[in-house]
Amino acid sequence: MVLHKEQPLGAPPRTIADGDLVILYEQFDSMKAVYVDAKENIQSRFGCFPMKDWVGKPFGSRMCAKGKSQGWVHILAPTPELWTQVLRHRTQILYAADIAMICAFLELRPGCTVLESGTGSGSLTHSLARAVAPGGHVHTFDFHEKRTEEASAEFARHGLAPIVTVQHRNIEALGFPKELHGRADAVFLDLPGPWNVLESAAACLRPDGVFCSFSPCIEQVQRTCTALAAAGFTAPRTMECLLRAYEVNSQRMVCDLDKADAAAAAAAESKKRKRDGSSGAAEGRQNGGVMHAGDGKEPFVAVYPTAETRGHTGYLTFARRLVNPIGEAVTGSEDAPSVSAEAHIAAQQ
Amino acid sequence: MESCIIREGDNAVLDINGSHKTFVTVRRGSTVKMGKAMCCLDSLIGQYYGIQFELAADGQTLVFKRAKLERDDVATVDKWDANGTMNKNNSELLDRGDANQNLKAKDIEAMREAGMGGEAIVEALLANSETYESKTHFAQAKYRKRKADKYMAQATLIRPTARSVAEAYFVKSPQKIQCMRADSLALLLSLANIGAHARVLVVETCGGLVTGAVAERMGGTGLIVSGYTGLKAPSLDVVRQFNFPASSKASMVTATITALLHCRSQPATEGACSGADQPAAAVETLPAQPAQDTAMADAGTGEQAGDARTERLAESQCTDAATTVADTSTIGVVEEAEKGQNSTTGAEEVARIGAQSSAQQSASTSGSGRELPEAVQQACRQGFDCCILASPLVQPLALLRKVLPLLAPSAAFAVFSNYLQPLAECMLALQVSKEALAVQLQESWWREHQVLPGRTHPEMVISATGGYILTGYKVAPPS
Repeated sequence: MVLHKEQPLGAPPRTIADGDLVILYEQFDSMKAVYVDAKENIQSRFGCFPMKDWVGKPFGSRMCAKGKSQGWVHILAPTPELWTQVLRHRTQILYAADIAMICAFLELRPGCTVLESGTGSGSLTHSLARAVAPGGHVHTFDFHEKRTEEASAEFARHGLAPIVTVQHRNIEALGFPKELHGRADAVFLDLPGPWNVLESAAACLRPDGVFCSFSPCIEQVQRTCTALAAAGFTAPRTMECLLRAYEVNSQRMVCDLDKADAAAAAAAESKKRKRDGSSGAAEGRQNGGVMHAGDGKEPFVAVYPTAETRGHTGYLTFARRLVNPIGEAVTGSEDAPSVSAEAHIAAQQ
Repeated sequence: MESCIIREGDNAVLDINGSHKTFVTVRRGSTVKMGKAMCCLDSLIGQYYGIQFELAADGQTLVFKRAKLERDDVATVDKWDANGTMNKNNSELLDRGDANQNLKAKDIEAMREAGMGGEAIVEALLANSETYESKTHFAQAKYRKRKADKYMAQATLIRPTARSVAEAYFVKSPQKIQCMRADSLALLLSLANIGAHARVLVVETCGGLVTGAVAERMGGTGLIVSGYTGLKAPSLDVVRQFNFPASSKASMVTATITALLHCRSQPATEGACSGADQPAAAVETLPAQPAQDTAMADAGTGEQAGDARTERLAESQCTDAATTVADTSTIGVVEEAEKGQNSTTGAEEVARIGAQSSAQQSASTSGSGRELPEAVQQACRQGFDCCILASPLVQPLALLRKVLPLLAPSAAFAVFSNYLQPLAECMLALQVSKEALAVQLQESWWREHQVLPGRTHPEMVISATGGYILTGYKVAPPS
């Protein structure tokens, strides 16, 4: 289970069970997904781990390797964020900053229905599922059949089957299925030509429902935004968001310049004497100790951005399905998108 | 689909021209300020949130805006480039102040008095501008928009959500929410793994924005404990902006961190001794569950959620259930939220606030976790699943060391601060002590773009930083 489980009063705290998805944490830059199989051992760079030892232990525990290796790993409970970091890429995936923004700006909450195309590697799908459960649903589509099969099996294995439905369908060519018209609170597109799907997306969204499209290139954004108003959308906003990572370490810097000069002179002197052979090694060491205490340097916590960082992932374009007033003449608001779409097609002809 | 219809008594965000935002309460007969005019929002009740409207020429009546087919496509731009933009420029344009506009303030006033609508005034302004014709198409569009914003103010009534509430506060009074930008809030929710059924510990001084956003994501499931240090709980006023159903209010509890720690250190059997033994405690919760479900169902149907009586009933049941262990008002948030929702008389309000603060006082001074609801006691003993700390003026390391024992092993935590250095020091300490794994320090960066045919570029002025977020996962203490 990737999502939180209900914790009734008196229920015992959650522990690792046979068959669970867990995150094997080796060190900060090395994690992997493991499905616990009590009959098997798992080989990591820190040794060999019999998984039967893990069953019944709390998540977050340190697990020691079998035999003499003395290595260990930690086992973390899976979360959508951790899954994004360890999943096997079937496609390019969305990362934390964009995922967080998408869930928040689509205004997802338990009970919401959200449509997603394409499913890709299912990175975003896990976060969408977390945001709409319980009572909500994620309908996700991909035009690659093998990918939908793999994704579907994976969602089932992660306990998402009641919340996520995966379908094989070319959304760009066919639009969303008619059964979903008027039923979505939110629609997310990650497609090469999102402008082809705007009318179908508008037909699926309830009034004031939120639309989002992710595109790496500004030309795609330009085309999508140009077509938004005609498809029945309003309040378009295009944005980029990134996470800028920082590194920290403990360093020492010169704070008392006079002392530092004196210490440097003393060090040079001691080195010279050592070279001349006029002084014993013991004295040098002693000087070294004194020098460290009085070298005019103070420790400080250094914090700086990582040297290389992601400069761009894609542009997020949000818009809302236009709201027509209720109880006035003309058509009911339910028909509005299709009416405007037809009017638009008629105008083109 | 729930709560997308505007109901009487709702709190909402009123947006004017997509830039100015105010918080309003939709109440029959009362007026709100819209630009310079005072207008009555009665006619919005029963409409969908997101409804767009303007003020009629009389300055009072709301006129709904209908779907318009606008097509501003690239082909037009190319044509403009060929015929307009390229052979026009501002070489002849002189800034002569008001002299370029032949209509004066008194003319506009006269037009208004004659009952002319905003659109007619804007057309008149364009016609009487000496320079409008010589402008490029792009400059004309910009000029028209500026005049339209002033004379045909277009308003939208926006549903209060974590997104809209955070954005409105960030524009209106950022200091009240510790300058928490909407993207940073979004990141906190994701990185701390907030989701339904979780048991969440929040420590914030962002006015309740974080607690409210967490409650929105949880939909009345699980448990949210808003922990605090000191004698007085910080304000959680922002929570009342969300129009939460009773189930959400019932899932929120305020308590001092000291009380939570005390509760944790008590063995399970003693915790249950405050009234019943373990099995009895389980039975006790049974009535609470259906009550919460009812409340959820109320919210789910939306249409009849306006039925105040049902909602109040469910609310009182929930509140009762949540406080069965003791009747002290540990549910400070519920009280707070109610204060805003129901138009109580001043005296009642004072009484409520009094009751609340005395309850908080007793909770903090006694330091005993025994009066905490059963679910909170269980969370304290088993550990919270998620934790968000957003009190920039409490040292992150000191606060984190305090709350780490309250977290379940493998729990995700996220610490927000406007300041980098205290988080850096906290991160280094965690790396050395190995109390947490996958510790990361990040800054949220966010930039909006103007996307218009032929005029696409990043916004000229943006917020410089969204603040800093330290995240990690708690390590299980060695067994």
